[in-house]
Amino acid sequence: MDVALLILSILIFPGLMFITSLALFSEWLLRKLAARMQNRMGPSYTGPIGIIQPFADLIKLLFAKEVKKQRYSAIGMAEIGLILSISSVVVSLLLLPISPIRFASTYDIIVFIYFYAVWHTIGLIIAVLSYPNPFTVAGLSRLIAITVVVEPTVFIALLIPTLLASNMGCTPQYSIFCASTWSWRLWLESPTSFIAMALGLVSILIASQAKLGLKPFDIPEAEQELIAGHITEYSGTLLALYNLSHDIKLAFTALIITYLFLGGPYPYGHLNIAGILLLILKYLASLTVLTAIRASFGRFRIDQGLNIIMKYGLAPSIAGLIAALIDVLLL
Amino acid sequence: MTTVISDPFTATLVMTGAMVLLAVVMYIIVLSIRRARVTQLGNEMYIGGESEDILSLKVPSVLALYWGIVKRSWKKAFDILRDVVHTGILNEWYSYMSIWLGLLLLLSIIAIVTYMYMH
Repeated sequence: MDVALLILSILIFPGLMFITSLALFSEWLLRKLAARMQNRMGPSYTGPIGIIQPFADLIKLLFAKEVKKQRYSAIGMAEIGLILSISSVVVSLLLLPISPIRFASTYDIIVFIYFYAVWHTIGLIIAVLSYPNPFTVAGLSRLIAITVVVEPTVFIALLIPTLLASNMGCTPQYSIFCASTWSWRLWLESPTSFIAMALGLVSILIASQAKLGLKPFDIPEAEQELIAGHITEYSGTLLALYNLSHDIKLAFTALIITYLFLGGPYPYGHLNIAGILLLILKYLASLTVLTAIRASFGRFRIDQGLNIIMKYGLAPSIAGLIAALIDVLLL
Repeated sequence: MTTVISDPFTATLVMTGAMVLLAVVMYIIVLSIRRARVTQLGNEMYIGGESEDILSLKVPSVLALYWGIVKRSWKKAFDILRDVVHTGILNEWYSYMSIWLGLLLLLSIIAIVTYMYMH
């Protein structure tokens, strides 16, 4: 294995630098699109049509604002938790075909879940508990309640393309790489695979919305109601890291939808213009759908939110998995 | 472009190493940025302007909050389970558990037989 290429991949492309840039652009697009949908201006003054506003916010929080040390807080722990939650998402990029060095192994969907769901959540919980506060604790309990429903939904939804791609003879079996490179064929493979992919896409969109804490599932943060929920006490560097973690998760989730359900740059490759344009187009489309949902709803109450995720996320993903199994076993 | 095909354990180990490396690099950067700007001013907990005494009042525990949420959103399932299992009669609990465990056992046997038949 080329260690230099691995280090380059985690630090530069598609690692920290690239995903940070993509994350800040995605945040700008989300804010701008949501604002236009709601007849507001959105970011407008910093850079052309406000495009570097998220970057300016990040720089201000990192270099100008102070970190408030609360009596019971552990700043170091909070930083470590947030950094773990960021780095676990960044490392998950190594499983996607966009990385110059790609890891592919049989059943690596479990490795993916290990980083994207388990480590990310653990990092976030460590960070949140490092600033004890009644609002923080209430936000965290909501976050955990949502996670309990969302993570199985994400896992089942991701299982659909991996299962179908493995059935078509792609190797290594049950790998993210396989599902990413073959997902564009799965839509037209058979009627049942089309149904399975469509249900998977719907469920991952709903689950992503909840995992990202975007409206109508911004229940753990619950501005006004819980002050700022699980990030009530954050300031300065910590708030910058949290915002960055959130944006990176947004960009990564849109990438996952783009690759595993919409087919990424395929049938073209990554190294030609048509492929790159197709990839950008699909990425923007998935981000636009997430934004449209965010801009169209108000916040649900926690029990309503959980019911909606189960009804429109978990149930379609299970139905999609059953359709995929029918396709695998019978057709 | 290089595709490294390995077993999931090796992939996990290498990727965890990469995650730790990235975390260390980021921590060093963050530490160098924030070192001088930690303020001790206003170090009390923010509870909407209240003092900490308010926390001595009875508030629901975190566990109660979590179970409250789960009970509300899975109310039907919770009610069914409560009515069936919490009757106070040991035999009913025993029969309920044995039916479900028996079903799971049956399913696992079917799964094993299907797997053996397919391979």
